[in-house]
Amino acid sequence: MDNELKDLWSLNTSDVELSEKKIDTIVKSKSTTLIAKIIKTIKIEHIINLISFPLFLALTIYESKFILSIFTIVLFVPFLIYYNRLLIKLKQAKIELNVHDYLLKCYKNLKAFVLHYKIASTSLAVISFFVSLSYDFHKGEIKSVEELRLENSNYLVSIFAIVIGLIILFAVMWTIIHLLYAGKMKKLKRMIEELEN
Amino acid sequence: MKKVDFKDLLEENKHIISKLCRAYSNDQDEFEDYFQEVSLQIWKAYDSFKGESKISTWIYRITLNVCLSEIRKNKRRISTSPFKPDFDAADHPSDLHQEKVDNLYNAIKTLKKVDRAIILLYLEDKKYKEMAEILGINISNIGVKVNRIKHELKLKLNGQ
Repeated sequence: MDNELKDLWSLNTSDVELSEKKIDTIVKSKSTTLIAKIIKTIKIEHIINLISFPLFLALTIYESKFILSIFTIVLFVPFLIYYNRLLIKLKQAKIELNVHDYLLKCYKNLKAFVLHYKIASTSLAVISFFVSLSYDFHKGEIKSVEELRLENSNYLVSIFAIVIGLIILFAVMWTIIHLLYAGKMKKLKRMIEELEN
Repeated sequence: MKKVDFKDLLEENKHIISKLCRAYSNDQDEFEDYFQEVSLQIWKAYDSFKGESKISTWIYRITLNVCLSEIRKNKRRISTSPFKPDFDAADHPSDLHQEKVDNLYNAIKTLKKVDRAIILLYLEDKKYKEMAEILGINISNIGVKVNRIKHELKLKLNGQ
């Protein structure tokens, strides 16, 4: 049976025709691998950060909100370091690794990517919540939370509603992330286990 | 890497790539996608090839890495024509041989993706040492796995 299978396989000579045009198409094409897609997404986010942070910083300086400016700078540096590290980590999944190591890197990358989205979405929501709150305080209509409690009990209800809204938003976002990537992660993990056992 | 060298490298190894890609494709479009992605990865990674392993080992790794890590949804495709890769029919000794090869592919495609990789390397007549190098698993595990998958494949080919 062994030789029979190999003999049969040796009859299999299917080949593609490689024209100059086809080579050109290959060379100019963009990768569609999972890792390539993740790296592309993170790079786009990184570029958006590089543009939006200085813009936001300029806005806070223009509006003389210097505490917010310092906060932006303090946040910007770790963000840059984090994105650089993440990209370096993602690029470690070299396609020429052996199959087990490559699948393991893909799995770890996907895990890091999912965690990144969970952290990023949570951080963004929390930051936007506090930024909008700080803008409310700067309007001059509101002096402090204590005064607000006395002057307008609806304010606490609004904060409560925002918090509930954020929790629902997190739940929806995390579910979407889970639906998009959990299946892929599960399949990768199963393949790694099959190779190891 | 120059385009001419890349073309030569692909010409020399296209039979490996196409045979492996075919085992992971459900139709011609998927086959083309896999073949193009593998070729692109070879083009992009060639400059980092240090010659620590044989070029064929390197090609097998890239091809299997692409085919295994591309996790696609199992689309219910309605094929209007049987899946035939872009090959020259004159290469085949007879239709009977081709039918046997097709049956072998169909049986291979029913295996798990990892098992497919192992049996494909076995059918390509790779030594256990090279298989372990490509797959990154212990050499002692290879023999056991190959025997199990061969048995499974035999049953599938016999329609059991």
